[in-house]
Amino acid sequence: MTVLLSCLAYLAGAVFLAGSVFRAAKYARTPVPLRWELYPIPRGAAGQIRYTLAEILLLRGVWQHNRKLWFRTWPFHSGIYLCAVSLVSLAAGFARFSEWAALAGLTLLLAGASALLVARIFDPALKPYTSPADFFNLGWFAAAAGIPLASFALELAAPATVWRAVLTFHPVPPLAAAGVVLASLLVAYIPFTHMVHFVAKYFAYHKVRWDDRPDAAVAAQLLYTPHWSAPHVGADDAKTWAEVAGASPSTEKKS
Amino acid sequence: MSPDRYSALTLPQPKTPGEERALVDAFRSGLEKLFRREDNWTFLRPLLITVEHCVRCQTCAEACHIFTGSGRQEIYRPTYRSEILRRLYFKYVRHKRWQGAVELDWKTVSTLAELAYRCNLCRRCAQACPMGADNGLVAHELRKLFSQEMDIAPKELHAAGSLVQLRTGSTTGMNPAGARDCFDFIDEEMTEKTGIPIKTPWDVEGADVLLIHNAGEVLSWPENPGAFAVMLTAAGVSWTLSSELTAYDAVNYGLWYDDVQFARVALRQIEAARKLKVKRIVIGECGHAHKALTVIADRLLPSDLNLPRESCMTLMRDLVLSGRLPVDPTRNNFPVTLHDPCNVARLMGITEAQRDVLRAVCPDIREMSPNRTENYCCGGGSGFALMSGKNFLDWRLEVAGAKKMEQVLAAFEGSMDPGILKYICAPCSNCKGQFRDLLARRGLWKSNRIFYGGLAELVVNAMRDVKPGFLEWEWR
Ligand code: SF4
Ligand code: SF4
Repeated sequence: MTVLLSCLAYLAGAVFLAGSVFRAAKYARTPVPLRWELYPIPRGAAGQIRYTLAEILLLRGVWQHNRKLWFRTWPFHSGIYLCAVSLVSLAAGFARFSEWAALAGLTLLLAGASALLVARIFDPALKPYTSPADFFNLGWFAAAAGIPLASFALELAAPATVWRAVLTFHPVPPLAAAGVVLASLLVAYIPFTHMVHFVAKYFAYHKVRWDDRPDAAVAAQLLYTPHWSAPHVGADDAKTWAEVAGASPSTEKKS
Repeated sequence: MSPDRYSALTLPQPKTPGEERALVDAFRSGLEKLFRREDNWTFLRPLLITVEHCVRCQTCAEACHIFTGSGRQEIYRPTYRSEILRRLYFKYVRHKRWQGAVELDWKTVSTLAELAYRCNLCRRCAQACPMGADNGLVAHELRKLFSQEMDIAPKELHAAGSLVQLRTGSTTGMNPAGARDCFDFIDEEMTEKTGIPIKTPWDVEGADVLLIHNAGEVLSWPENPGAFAVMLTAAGVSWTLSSELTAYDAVNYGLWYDDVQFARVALRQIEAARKLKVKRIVIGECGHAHKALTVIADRLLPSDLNLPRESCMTLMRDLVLSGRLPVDPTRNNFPVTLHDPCNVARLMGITEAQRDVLRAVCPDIREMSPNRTENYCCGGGSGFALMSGKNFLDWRLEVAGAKKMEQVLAAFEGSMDPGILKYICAPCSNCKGQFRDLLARRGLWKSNRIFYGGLAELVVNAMRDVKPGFLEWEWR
């Protein structure tokens, strides 16, 4: 059982990494679009790094445009960051700091996920736009944060100590083990949902919004064959995009 | 079937379940193409990011002037149409469950068709979105699906728009000979008004500047292209207009609804410039033409067609600030507020050149708030200023234009007395059309003397070498 739990944790980490790379590759492989930038574009690499850090760490965009949501979503995100920091500091040998980071992170995560869940259930602006998957995901986050905290209270198993045990193939108490299972499955599941937006955001900013390079190569894409059916397009399943654009509007219906 | 009581389109009216099915199937086939690289390489990347990663947090809602201007009606929420598309995408393209219920029937399809034309494509919502999702793009892509797959588009943009431009040379229907006649007339007028002999040069090979105006200016506001002729002549710039088909009309309506029509017009415009061997193309006061030819067309152009393209704002700044056009700002001694066309400001980042010019020629500038890249659309964006059919005009003036009028009135606060002439400087044909209709609907020229016009007119009005009184303050 102990070995199984440890393997699950490692496997989850591997799936998370592979899944994130897979998603990044998916977006990277989409064709270079027409220019579609949005201003202001932060100046230079330093400006872009500053902007990105403020966006990731402080969720500046939400702070500026949706303060009410920020008080729910910032704890949620910073909770996740602190849990990650806890794992890294555990590996680096900062056991005490790791303990505090894990407790603070899980508390923030639980508070944030619950607050988001409540908003999604009751806020009339959010409710109609919330899918069953959203409730499920937030509930899962809340449980994955709440159970280790319950284990800490009831089994006196400190979260970072639990993780150290799991990662070094040592046994942990039952509730703590349940927390590890939930967290592992969640981590493995994230890349296959919209929660992988940390990957998508890179492309949204660097490959769309801020991408004003005039010389991005699209030559190969001009040789694609479009299949649109409206007569004026004049696509016949043989002409390339460049040929269609070079021709005058057709009046014949596509067969 | 319109989701509100307005309509921008003449939608098919299926009479039998079979006809309805055929339309829904056509939509579904277009939906699949929208997400296929061969068919939609032009915007697939940002579209995928948007539909797959919008977290539906509604942060974008308050940024949208249409949503707030409508009293926050749900159907105008930026994510309303996007959410329908998102659910359709997951259900019918990705075959995934749990992403929210949606039915693909004619009601849904016709609702989406109309709602694609309840967004100005101003992308102010995208600026607010923490995910980088873009609801303006969604409206653009829906318009494209309807046009490129189902041949459904507003007649003002397509049948009487880009198709006419590709056939006759201009969406106004003006052929090259007609355009030259109009400019002859403008030249005469300008010579008389300014005291400077004006002769618009045509098809001058090797000129420094090929100027392309929105041909609508020639008919509706001839003093704007006239003012450019005065500036360029007085400053001794080597310039020309082109009489090639499509190259004397900068508009490119495809930008708003159809990538193929867009590419056709842009390629022909640039080809004309290449044939003339001009050093650069300068685009007149037309926001969408700015973005179409300089930004959106950019990656479509093979290197031999990738000629330098410039905004008229920077050209005017160079002429005015270099002293080549001596000016007397006291000739513009009235309050002026500056409207930032979305295409020029938020979507191209040009915000200071026009202000530099304005500061040099106007002593009393009243900035709107917010402004520059955070401006609000006038409500006429994405072709709406051209669209009035049925009752669409009411919607664009009452809903889409509400926020802009609020901004204008706030900018002129304290000077609303009809004894004080006031000028909205809108360096964009489309925006000018919208301001004309907004001011007329609210009677603000008659009752409060709020006028509108371009930037070039203000420069010429301030030019020392020009007879005073270039601006005539005559409503049109
Ligand atoms: S588009 Fe952006 S701001 Fe709007 S709901 Fe989606 S994620 Fe939130
Ligand atoms: S693009 Fe502009 S008009 Fe359209 S939804 Fe966004 S803010 Fe509203």
